[in-house]
Amino acid sequence: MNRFFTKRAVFLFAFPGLALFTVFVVFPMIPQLLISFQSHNGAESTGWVGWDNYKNLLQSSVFWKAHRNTYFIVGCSLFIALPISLLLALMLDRTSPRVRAVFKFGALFPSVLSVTVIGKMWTGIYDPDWGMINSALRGIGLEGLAQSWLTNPDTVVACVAAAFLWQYIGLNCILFYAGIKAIPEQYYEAAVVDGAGFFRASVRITIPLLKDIIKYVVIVSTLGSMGMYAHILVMTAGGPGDASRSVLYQMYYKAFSMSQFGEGCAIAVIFIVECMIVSLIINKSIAREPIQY
Amino acid sequence: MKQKLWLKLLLIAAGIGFLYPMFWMVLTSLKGKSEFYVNPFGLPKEWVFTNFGEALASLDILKYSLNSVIYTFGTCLITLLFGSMLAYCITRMKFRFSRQAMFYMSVGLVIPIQVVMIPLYMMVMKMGLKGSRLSLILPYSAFQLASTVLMISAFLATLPGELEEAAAIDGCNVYQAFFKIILRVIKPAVLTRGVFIFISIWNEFAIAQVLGNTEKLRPIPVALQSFFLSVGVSHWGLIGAAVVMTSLPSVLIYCLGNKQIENALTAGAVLK
Amino acid sequence: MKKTWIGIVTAIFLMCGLAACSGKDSPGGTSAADAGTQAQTGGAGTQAETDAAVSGEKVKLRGVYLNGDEVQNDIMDNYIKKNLAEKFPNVEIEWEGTGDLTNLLKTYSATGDLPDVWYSDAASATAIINAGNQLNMADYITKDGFIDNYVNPDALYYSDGGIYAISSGIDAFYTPAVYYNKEIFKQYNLEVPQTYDELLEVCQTLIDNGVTPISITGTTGWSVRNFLFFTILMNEDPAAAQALLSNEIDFTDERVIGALKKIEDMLNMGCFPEGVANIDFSTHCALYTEGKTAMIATMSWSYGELEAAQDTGVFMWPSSNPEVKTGQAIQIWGSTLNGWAVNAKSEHLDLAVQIAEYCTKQEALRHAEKGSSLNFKTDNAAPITSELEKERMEMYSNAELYLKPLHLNAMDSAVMAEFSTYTNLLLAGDYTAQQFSEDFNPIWKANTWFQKQ
Repeated sequence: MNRFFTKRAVFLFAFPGLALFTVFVVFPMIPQLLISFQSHNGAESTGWVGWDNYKNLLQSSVFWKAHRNTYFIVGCSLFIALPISLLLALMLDRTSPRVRAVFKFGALFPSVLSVTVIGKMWTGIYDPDWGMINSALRGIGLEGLAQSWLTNPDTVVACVAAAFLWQYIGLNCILFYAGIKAIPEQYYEAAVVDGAGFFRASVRITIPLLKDIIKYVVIVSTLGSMGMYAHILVMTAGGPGDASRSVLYQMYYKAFSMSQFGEGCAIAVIFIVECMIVSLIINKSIAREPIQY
Repeated sequence: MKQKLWLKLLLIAAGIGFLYPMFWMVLTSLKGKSEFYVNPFGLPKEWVFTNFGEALASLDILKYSLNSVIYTFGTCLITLLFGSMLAYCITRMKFRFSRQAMFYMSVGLVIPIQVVMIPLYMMVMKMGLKGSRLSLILPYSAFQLASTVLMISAFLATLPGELEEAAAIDGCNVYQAFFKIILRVIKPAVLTRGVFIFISIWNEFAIAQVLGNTEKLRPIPVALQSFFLSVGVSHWGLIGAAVVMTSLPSVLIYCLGNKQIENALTAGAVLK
Repeated sequence: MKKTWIGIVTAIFLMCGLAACSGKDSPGGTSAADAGTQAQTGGAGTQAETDAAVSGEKVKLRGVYLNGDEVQNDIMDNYIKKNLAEKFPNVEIEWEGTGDLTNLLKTYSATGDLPDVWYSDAASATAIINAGNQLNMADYITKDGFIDNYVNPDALYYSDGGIYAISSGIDAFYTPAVYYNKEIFKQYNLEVPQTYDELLEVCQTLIDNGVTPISITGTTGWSVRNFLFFTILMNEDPAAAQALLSNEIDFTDERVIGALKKIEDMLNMGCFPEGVANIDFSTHCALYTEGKTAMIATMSWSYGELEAAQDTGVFMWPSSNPEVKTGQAIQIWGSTLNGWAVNAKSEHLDLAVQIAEYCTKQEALRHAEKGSSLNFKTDNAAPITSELEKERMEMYSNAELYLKPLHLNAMDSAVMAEFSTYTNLLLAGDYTAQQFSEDFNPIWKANTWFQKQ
């Protein structure tokens, strides 16, 4: 076959993709790294500053707050949204095709909307004056709980996270369901003979067999939540004050609002390292044994 | 049986819950300015249709949609072509560095595109792509490439090795074999991937907000955001109208191609 | 059959893509050096003609303007865009309107993508000037005599002696003011407050009756950042306000903390709408015009909209110090960096200057026709028709001390971004004036604004 796959052909097939990828994904990290050691106003560098940008970051409370917010959102997505999706998927498997169709139609709908639309809708839902949540609370006599959700530093991050997770809960659920469907029927037949109920069958059989999909969803949700910044920009612009900034929002703010591109790049460099570490941890902790059906 | 009914109601309620905000936006778009504050969630008492015209007057939806179409199809085209070529090379050609290439590409899976927006921004402007729509299409394509290559590779790996041999016997060279035979065989995977890219790019906001935030280049999501900010909208009827009109293409496609979208969104996971 | 269709569709999209990608602006017209020699002889208009005559095609320029309230939109649509084609027949301007001027200009400057002409704002201007991108127009407008249009040309010079922006000079006549709904005041037997304590009493009565007292806007801390904090400080002690503006005191000064404390107290009392930290500019106007708040503390350029919706009266922010008379010291608007500016690296420098001059002139015309006082002389000055505006201008004339806004005249862009952040946080509640002072003072200390001067 070597005459068929000539060296020239190999080159021609591999080159465009690799080149594009290198130029726009890998290469930008080099200037990023260099700028992170400079004082840079966006137009020009005003000198090398060594580790100063990094030192400033590690000493600034906003940087840590942004980290807390980011990992809080990651936590919500892993420990709240993901179990909900999984539960819904398990329930979906047990219901009639018609109900399934209705649910599926709704569930995937938010994933085809843009963040601008989602953000504005949820801003309306959270409006302190006439918003859906406060109106409902007042309606059932829980007036005391009604509050200004997006300007309260204690609730704002959770509220933005809810809007973000709402968009992807349905999608994750459908992913799980696709995985469940792929499990051969005889596994359940054995369980039925054993007399296992819904939950025992799920925990014993379904979930272990879903490992691959769970891993995929965990990776995608984790990295997706870590990279969240558009929802924040649209809904709160990081506010009130700096209460709802994520790491990437802080990077954006440093560079484009404060014209401190050096520190902005330093945040990005740290963040890239974090992303790599996190995906390594996930890869290691959820083992990749092939599942034998 | 009782449990089943409870299950059904819960699932249907959840399904409707996902649709409700958009339904609410549609209702809002049909309300007058002062009615909204009095009656934000009910049916409009007085049906107003002028909001759509008013929103259109200050938001040139046609122009921004065209931008979105160009970005979306440009990205689809480049990514799918380059992606399937690279995937083919990695999985089926005798490429000495195929394993390294695969590992190299997976960097793109780990890094969110937003992280490199600062250098990307500086670079794109310096490369002479300033003011050109390629300044968005190329980075988009590059970032979509990683998952595309992985997915198509997985698909290609399942094909029998005799495909090329048969082609060679038929007198095809490698290029003919790829474009005439392989592409046709992997078409389902490519199309599924295309739908996925379509959804991602049509709604992309983070990078477009930085690289394409000029009057000429704005795609729909960014234009909508700048409409909310700059036209100064406290009139939720207008907000609703703008939201409804700009979401219409995705909603239509969603209703028509629900099954394909489901396949596209789940394909990545199932293949892994 | 199906294949053919796919082929055709693909081909069409390819062509669309190519057409769109190649549609980059082609530079046309003469070089800047050429234009420079011509500028000294030709006035506005003729330059454009010669410029175009040389190149034989329309000269393309880019412009950015503030797409804000009704006044701004009226100026752009009916006074500038409409007449520009007639005045400069061979020039084509690609306009871009934005509500977020500061960030857009900063990003453009950072990448060397600034338009030829833009409406400069003080928050981004220092960074752009330092990068050498904003043209010092002093020589240009002196030579062509444009500067003679000003009653007081000194108001144009930035602290380094250059002129980086030209404006109609209406800014100095804008002030913050409190507009109130006369009907609501009558309903609850309320008098116009003369002192800060009376204002609080008025607010308390309104709150007791379930009416939100004062509408302000809190996204990016707008109202507090732009005038409320500084106005309160001025009405507590004008000397402290002056000292802060000239960097003689900082945010640990008792009087400064006191002013912040008043905002904190009013917020806790419920004087501002719920969730004020996330209320944007247009919503804060709507709250008043829809009759949901009894008062609105805002900048005076919005009076037309307010007056049209409600029976409206006006008063100046009341003094909180018996020794300071209400309305004795008022804040005006503006900065020498606000106004039309030109890209120092524009390929059509002279033409761009002429466009900036024309925009300024048209803007002045609009304001003069509506009866506003201006630094820029026009032939069309009309008397003020609005009783409300007359009343405010009377208060304006009675003042003794006029101070320019703090955020535009004492902060570099990084400090201003942080000032926005912290004023926004203050309005979110659960954040005290003391904390504000502790957190913001180090940032204020790192201000580079005063180093440059």
